[in-house]
Amino acid sequence: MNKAGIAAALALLALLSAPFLYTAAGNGVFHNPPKPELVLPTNAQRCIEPTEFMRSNHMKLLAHERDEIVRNHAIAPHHHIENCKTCHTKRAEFCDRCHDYAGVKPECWDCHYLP
Amino acid sequence: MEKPRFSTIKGNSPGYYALVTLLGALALAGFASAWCMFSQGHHVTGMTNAIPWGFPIVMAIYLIGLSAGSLVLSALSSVFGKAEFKPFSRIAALLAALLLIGALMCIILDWGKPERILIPFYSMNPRSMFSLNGMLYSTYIGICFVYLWAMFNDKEKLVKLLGFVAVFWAVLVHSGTGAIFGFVGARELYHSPLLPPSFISAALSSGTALMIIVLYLTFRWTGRTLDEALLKKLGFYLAMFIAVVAYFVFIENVTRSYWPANYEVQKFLLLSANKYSLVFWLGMVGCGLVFPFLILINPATGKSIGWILAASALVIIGVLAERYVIVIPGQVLPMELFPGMTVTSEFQDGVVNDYSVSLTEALFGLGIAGFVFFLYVVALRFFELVPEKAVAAGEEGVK
Amino acid sequence: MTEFDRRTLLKFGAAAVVGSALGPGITLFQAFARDGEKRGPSKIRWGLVIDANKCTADCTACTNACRTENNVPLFGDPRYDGHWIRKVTVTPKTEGAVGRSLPLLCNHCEQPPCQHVCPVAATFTRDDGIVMIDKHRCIGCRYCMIACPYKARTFVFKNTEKWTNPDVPKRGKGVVEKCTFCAHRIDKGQIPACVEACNKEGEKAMIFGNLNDPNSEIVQYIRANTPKGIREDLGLEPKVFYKGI
Repeated sequence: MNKAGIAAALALLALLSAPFLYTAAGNGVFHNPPKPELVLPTNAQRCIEPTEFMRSNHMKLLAHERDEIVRNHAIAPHHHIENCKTCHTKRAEFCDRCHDYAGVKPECWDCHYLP
Repeated sequence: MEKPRFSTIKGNSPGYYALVTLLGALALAGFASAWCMFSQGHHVTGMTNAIPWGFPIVMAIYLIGLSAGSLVLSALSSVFGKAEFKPFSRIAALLAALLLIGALMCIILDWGKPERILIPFYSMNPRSMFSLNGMLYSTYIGICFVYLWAMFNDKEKLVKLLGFVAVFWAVLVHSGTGAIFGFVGARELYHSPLLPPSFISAALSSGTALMIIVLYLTFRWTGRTLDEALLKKLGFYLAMFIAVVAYFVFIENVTRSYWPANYEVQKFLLLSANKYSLVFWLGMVGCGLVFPFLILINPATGKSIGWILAASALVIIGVLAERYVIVIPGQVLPMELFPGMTVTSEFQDGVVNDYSVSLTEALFGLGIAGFVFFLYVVALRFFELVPEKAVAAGEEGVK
Repeated sequence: MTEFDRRTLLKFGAAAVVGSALGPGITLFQAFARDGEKRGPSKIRWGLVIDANKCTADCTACTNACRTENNVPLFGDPRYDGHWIRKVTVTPKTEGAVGRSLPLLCNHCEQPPCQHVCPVAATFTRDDGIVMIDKHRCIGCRYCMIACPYKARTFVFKNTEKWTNPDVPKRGKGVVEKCTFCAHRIDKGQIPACVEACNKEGEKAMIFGNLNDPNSEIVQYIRANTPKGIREDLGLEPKVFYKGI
């Protein structure tokens, strides 16, 4: 390995780590945002599945159910993104808080309606 | 014939750094316009609802075509027994792979949602020419790299075998690319069984032309010895390929022009004073076929390196025009919704649409091409690609 | 892989993952067993008949209704506007012929070329014959727009900002869209918005119904009047028929 090779490897490393460095610099490296607080719906006692389950699996339910409903024309009264809205009426107070905290940007709301 | 000795280039001259910087800047400009298309939406391009495929697709099939010629040149020594071309086989195989990578980038970055790149891997429709081609392209790149590896490690038998596989695969790849357009029954100018073979022939002519220029410049700028007789031989092949392309273009257009239902379409493409006719006659027929063919078969000019290079440059431009003629005019013309009737609507029905390449698209296409050659120039520095000398059999090379 | 295989695999895969993560009792598999009921094979084939003799040039009830119902985008630039249904004027080329106005929409072909060319199977035919685009899967390559002979498909060039009807998604840029026969309304037992508007405000030129039901109004009408599809010569078997073209 010659000097040019090492330089190239370093440049590649810098390029690959740029997104992390950028975020770290933007937030302050040891910046710990407070845990998000969610506004829970008042019109229902419980979600269609236990909270723990929904927390880790809601995206799987949505993604799988969407295939079932859109493509296979299935009836799925509970696990439909349109049905989430019956309780979770404000995206900013529920979905967005965790998604912002975790830095997740789902495309759902580019098209689907939830104010 | 002695075995060619390959070595890396030094790559520390100001000229080399200038070239790398120039190509790198071009590539960055290309990626910037790709980002612009991605973040803003496709309204930054010249594409519309009537012309859904624009210059990126032209560029993609152009790069795919260029890649074929390179690979066939690489296989000349291993498959067709032309040992004097062995010194070029590594450069040619590498360029074939890089050009196809460029083509795939053109296609994918032109998608409305390039971030969904993983979807084709788990959801595919085997009836779609696009999806079949996706598989052909990616395996083709793989074959090129294995072929390169075998050449670097002097595995003679494997090289020969892979050469056969690669040529066979190249035929599939280019037939498939022609089929993307030829199989579409909805548009008169696309629907043609001749497109796959004519696509292969144009690929061979443009690829050979590109190789002539790339080889000449590579050997000249690196100070290696290149026998002019080899380039002249390639020039002869180029003339043959051009003749085949001309035959296909002629047959396709005569067939279409013969049938009265196509009079309007052919009049639009061949006999109107619009930019598509201009691209057809001046670009595709003039630059791509007539001028270079005359230069190459004329004994006075066909033996001169300068003229051969000029003819190659003309072919490279001409085949780009040919790809443009494949993609664009078929969309510009309105589709016959009610044959024999005039159709008007608020959605440009029955109207000849207008397409012009926007700056974003032009930068995008050029940038991807720049990226391909950026990779090539950088690879020369790190891999043993260029032979110290390339001479025709029985002659001593003259620089 | 067949549809059955894929779905079974998905279910077992998901069940295994979730089951291992959560312990017994709570699995995706169970959830689907409870509410993932399928409609089963459908005998329905939705079709539409348009009487071009009744349709008038200045009536835009169907196109307006479609725009409102389906949030079809208008960007104020004719090059990018979406059109799920559009009014076209068809005039014979003979001297002094009078033009005829009729709506044009996706023909929901039995042999849809758009579906044949889609590299990721984002375009599919639903069990009731409606050709739909799964916008979650569309990569925006626009091959379908090249392949459709009816120009029924448009590309989303920009994000849209507003919903006129929150029941239907608005548009995120980079995918292809087209008429769905108002599949969301059909699932609720209603008829497409354009047909409803034509019957209410328009000239009552549209009949929507099940082509497989011999007693339905549409089949009776087709038997009596033999309406024709557009470009039937292409062999795509369109399910939108026109009388009087």
